[in-house]
Amino acid sequence: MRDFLRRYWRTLTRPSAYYSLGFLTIGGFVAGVLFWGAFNTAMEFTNTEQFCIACHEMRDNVYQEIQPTIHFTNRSGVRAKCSDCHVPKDWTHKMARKMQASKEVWGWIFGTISTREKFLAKRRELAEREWVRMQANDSLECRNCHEFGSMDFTRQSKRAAQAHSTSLQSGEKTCIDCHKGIAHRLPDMAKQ
Amino acid sequence: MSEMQKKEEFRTWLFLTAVLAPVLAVLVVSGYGFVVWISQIIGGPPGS
Amino acid sequence: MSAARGFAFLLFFCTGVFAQHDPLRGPAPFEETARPAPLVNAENDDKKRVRSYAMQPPTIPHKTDNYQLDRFANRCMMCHARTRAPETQATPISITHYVDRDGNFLADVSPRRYFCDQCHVVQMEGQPPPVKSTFRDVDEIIRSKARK
Repeated sequence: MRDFLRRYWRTLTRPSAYYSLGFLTIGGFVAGVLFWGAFNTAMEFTNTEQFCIACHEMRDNVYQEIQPTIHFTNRSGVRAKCSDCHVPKDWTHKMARKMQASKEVWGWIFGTISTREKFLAKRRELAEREWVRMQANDSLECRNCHEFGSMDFTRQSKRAAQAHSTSLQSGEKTCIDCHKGIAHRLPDMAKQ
Repeated sequence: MSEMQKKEEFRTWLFLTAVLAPVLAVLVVSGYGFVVWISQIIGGPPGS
Repeated sequence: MSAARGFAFLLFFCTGVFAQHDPLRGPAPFEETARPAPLVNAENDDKKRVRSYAMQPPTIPHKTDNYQLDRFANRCMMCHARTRAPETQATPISITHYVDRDGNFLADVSPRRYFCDQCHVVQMEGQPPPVKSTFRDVDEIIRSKARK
């Protein structure tokens, strides 16, 4: 064993005698491209709806709740999937969120919200976390699709036009401040 | 000896390209992700 | 005996000969499945409508699709609460909604008035009511009496 390691270490730390620079470099480059493609495909797969609802905690609770809402079915058919709102698009923050998902894997293994009762007990905490995240980044995920500068107030109802042209325009409020519960049902909103 | 060395070189290259580099890349990226996540726990979510 | 027969005949006569037209069902004969009318949206123009009598719960002038109203959240109160009025410009709930069944005035909405949609409804766009109403506004009755 030690002999084996010593031999290969020698091969590793010395210039190649039999393989050209071209082969080593271009071969490595091509392999790197293939690897990155595979990595990204796997990463984007974890952003698909079918991946998210593979867990029954999601499928039986929040996925059921979103189905009658406007972000799931509407006249134009333009809809949001889980990652559009819950996974940041910026690469660094996306990686951070994917690492944070290890908490969710833990929860799946140990059944943190595996029954309806456990889910209901914890959902205020889960919702608050998302609301705080969206308030901090000025509802960035909403703005990924809903561009404020393109909002035509004349096409909105009076109440919507009034609300958007005042506190949203001034920056006093962000989307999530008024639109909590737009996608999933609200948790128990009684003051804690 | 040279045939042996050629084989060893190829295997080393293959190990580096197909095993070590991908594993290192995944470790570095996920390590970076973890660091950013922990800093978000300490310093609040991005934007705050 | 003859009264029962007479009644049965009357029933047959009415259903068979006069074919009572159910305006909610449409013109399809009763042995066929009626084709339902297409779905309509609620009126969403924020314009107050006339109340048929003073104590009528006002109808809702905007659409309320997917508005959550259960023990966890009251979406209506998120705009119509007293404390939210300056921000939302929505009509705050009337003082009658703060009274409990013993006549006590509470600080917040009384539980008996919590579920808004027990009394307040939206109105659907466009179509006239399918069933003709013979209700007369008391104002109109007073004026017609005054004319006599």
